[in-house]
Amino acid sequence: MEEFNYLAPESFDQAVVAKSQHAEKSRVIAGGTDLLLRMRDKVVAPSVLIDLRHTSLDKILISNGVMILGTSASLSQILENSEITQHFPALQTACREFAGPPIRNRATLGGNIVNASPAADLVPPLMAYDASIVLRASGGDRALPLAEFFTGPGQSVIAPDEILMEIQIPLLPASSAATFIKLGQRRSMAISQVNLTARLSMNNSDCVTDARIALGAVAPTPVRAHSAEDALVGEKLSEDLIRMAAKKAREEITPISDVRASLEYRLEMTEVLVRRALIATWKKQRRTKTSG
Amino acid sequence: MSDLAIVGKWTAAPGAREIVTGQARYCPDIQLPGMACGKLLYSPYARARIVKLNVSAARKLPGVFAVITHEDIPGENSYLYAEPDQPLLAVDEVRFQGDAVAAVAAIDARAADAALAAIRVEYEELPGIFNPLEAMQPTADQVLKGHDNVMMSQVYRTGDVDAAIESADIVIENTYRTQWAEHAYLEVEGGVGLVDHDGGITVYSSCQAPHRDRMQIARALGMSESMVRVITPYIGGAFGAKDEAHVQIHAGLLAHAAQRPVHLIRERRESILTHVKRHPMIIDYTTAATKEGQLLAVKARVIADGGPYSNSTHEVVNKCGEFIGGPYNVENLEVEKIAVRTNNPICGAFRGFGAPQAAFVYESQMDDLAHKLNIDPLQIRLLNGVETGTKMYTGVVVREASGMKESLNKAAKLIDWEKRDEIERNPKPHLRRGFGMATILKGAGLGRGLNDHAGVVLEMHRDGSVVLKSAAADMGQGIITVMAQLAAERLGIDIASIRVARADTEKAPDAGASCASRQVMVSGNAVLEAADSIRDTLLGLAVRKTKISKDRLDLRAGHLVVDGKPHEMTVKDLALRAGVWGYPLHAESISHFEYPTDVPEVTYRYSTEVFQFCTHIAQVLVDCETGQVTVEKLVAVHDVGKMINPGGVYGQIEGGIAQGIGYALTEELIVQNGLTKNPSLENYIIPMAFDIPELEMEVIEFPEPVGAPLGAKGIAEAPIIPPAPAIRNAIYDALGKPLYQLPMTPERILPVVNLDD
Ligand SMILES: Cc1cc2nc3c(=O)[nH]c(=O)nc-3n(C[C@H](O)[C@H](O)[C@H](O)COP(=O)(O)OP(=O)(O)OC[C@H]3O[C@@H](n4cnc5c(N)ncnc54)[C@H](O)[C@@H]3O)c2cc1C
Repeated sequence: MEEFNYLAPESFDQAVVAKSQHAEKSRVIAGGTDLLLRMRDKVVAPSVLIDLRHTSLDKILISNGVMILGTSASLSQILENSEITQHFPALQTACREFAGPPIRNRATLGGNIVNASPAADLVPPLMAYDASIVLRASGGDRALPLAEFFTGPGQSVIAPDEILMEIQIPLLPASSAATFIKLGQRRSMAISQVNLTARLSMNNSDCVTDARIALGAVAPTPVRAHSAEDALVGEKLSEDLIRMAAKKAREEITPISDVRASLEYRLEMTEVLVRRALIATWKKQRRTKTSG
Repeated sequence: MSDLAIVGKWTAAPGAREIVTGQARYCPDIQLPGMACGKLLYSPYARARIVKLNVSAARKLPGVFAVITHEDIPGENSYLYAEPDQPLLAVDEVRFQGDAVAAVAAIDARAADAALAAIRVEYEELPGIFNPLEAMQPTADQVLKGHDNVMMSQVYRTGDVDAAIESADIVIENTYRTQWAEHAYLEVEGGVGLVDHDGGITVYSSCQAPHRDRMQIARALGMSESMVRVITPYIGGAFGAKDEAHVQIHAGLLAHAAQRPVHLIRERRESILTHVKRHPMIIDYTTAATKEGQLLAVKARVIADGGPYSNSTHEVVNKCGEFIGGPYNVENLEVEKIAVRTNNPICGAFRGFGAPQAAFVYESQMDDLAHKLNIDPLQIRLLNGVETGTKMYTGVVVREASGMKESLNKAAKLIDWEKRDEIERNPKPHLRRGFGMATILKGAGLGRGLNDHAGVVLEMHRDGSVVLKSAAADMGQGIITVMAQLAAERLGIDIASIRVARADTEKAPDAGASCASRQVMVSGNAVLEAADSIRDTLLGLAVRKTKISKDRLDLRAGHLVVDGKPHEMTVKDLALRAGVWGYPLHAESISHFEYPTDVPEVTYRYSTEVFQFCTHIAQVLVDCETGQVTVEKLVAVHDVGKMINPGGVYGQIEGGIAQGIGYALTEELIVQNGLTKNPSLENYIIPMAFDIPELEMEVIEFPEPVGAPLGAKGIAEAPIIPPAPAIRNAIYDALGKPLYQLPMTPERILPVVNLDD
């Protein structure tokens, strides 16, 4: 690891100033569970680390129909939050299947996003829930849909002087349900071979009014399966329709082979898991209807 | 004989408190005044010529105490396990990714890194030899100049295999492939070297064989063995890879070169890239049987990829051949054992020494045979299993084999084998459930004809406390507890009164390596002998004092016992008396592994004669769409002869099963053109707690009649062996399709799945 200066600003404003000052030479450190490994392997060598630990960016709250998650919220905090259980259960499922307890105590939501791994587990549920993010620089704030953030493996549109401040998710109508599924090489402490979230909104006659399918580890960035979504919207849900949508999702992705899985396996699993996620979501819909 | 007070009872292991509270000191924890940081420069290439190696710039850097290359090694530039063919520091060529080229010692890690970076090595990459089948060809380029690529080629035959195959009702022939497997111990390899007052060298070593380390360090330094001392601090696992030396030799060399203490600890990535792996093997196997399922013949050819250097390849491949017929009565057997040099990772010892590869194959064959003949897998095993007195295909007569069939029957009962068809086999359209068993044998000890002994030193002090000195390395497997229990049992004291010194070549005689499930037997016997000698002295004093004849006396729970009742005189009293009267309570004993001479001539070279038997049965659920396998349940029944430390025995079984499940399903070093693609625990997938199923374990005890302390015959290796074939057979049962390659990853399972079956 190369030598670096370590700053732990007492406020977010100071952190933003430090970031604009040190720009390219600096990195924000949150939990450090990605960054420190990359520094050890000399993939990155920042000369300044800006630690967000004193900046109170870990709050989770609902305001004006929007859930706001501070970038530094840890996965454990997300798991414990009952409002997230109520509104965004698929995000919690993703947290539960993420690493193990020690990493979940340190790792942050913002770190998972800015790290921009195509396999990041929290991104598909956030994308399926239409999350947007707010970036701050000394010049001001910038909000954008999460889906527009990523540009490639480890690459995003974040500028060298920007810090991710918060993630915003609009509260959803009760008619919406979602399912997260992760496929890994073991049951915990696994980086996803494929991960995804499917979300469906439906009317009383089983007709899909809105659909989201967000996939990870099957393209250079997390992606939405738009043509699969389009195939569902406006249609009455059936097993055949779901099968067809799952096939379309498979056709939309561009996976690679690596040590975790082959390209072929990822294609195949995408179809299987999209189908399973849609069926599970459909079942959840029925359950909420019969119980409510 | 009175019943046992300590042996067979649950006990807190000496050192357990230190380990769980973080007080135990392992090599990485050692800090000495003036200690330098040592590092090695490893080859990034699988094969390259060293055109230029220049360390002068590195030597001039501030804070650098020593930079050494092969030229600076005062003694022999080689490891020595069997053959001295692996250089400590490469000379003109690197032959695998991880061959060490230079070593540095510097004031801290940063300076050491800078020194490594300043070493100029010019490599000319050479075409490597990566396919063992190609390496075997006579025309192939030599991996190690002057050495045949085929480093071992032996055939062992008994009976008339071809005639038996000819006459058989059924012949099954398959080719099996196994993978490189990584030990993945918690503590990676490390050593700390320091210079003694008289110029000698002491090395703290994370190892399994302190005396062999001493010999290798002395050789490299060109010193006499008496000038070198090896001490093992706490060790965080070894599983065979630390049977062979690693960086402790370099720690000694650097300490000598820098004339100050040097701390040399590998990083995880370095560890995975450089230490020996479990050999990948290609095994062709033919089984011939009658239509009733009686085995007639086995014919096998084993090809092991050993990497460029021999390490313990001969020993591993020899053991693979020794167990190739399994715990079965096979009168006609032929096994061809071939080991090949390549530019792939070096390979060597790993828990089981070739037996896991053999068992994967012979137990898979048993199920293929059972399926083809429509015989129950349990019955076909019972039909062919060895029995006490059976003369095995190796020529060895099994002295106690009751555990073979008993473990099968017990395991079958535990999982309700007969009623397995009443369990839902198809709980969802895409899920298939199956049951599979594997029963195995593993010999304890190094084998007939090999130097297999251990010594201990035992002292009782005037206050009745005891020090036990042994050079048997405890890597976490628990030999220290076993030795303390055995001594305490014979001396009538509790184990808390015994301090077992950690292995140190200057305190205790050679105990050999902690490998081959041997220490309970060899060191165990040595402890009993030494303890009995002190016990004799104590009882002699008791006779003098009480005038009661010796045969009525015993020592137990800290007291002299007369006719089974505690006497007021304590062991402490006797110890004090011994001190005052001048009877030293000091005993040394060296015990040799016993190979009786009154047996028929043994024909398989270096065969073992004491066998651990065990049976595992796995229940699995296969997701036919993703190929994922869930091991839902695993039952394990092990014959240990006599259980000395239940906590240790169950711990070994649990750990072995976990490691065996990894070997079966996920663990695989991915090596392409000699380069390892997953040298990290992120991508080398060992199982975690959630991957381990409900385990049901049972220990059975058929005391070993010869040479075993109280009948105990060790446990450490057996448990890793059956999970892979048991799981393979369960997958076969679930899918109706057999697999022939490890690990059985989803991507290898999917192609054989047919949901319409
Ligand atoms: C053992 C282990 C297991 C893991 N398992 C999983 C898993 O199952 N699923 C998964 O998706 N990931 C996993 N990871 C990866 C990692 O834990 C996650 O990506 C985690 O969410 C990163 O968060 P962090 O707070 O540690 O980020 P850090 O490492 O602190 O930062 C990551 C990157 O984001 C940048 N950054 C962080 N916060 C901000 C901010 N507010 N503004 C601008 N830049 C910022 C940093 O500069 C850095 O480049 C695992 C990692 C380890 C070590």
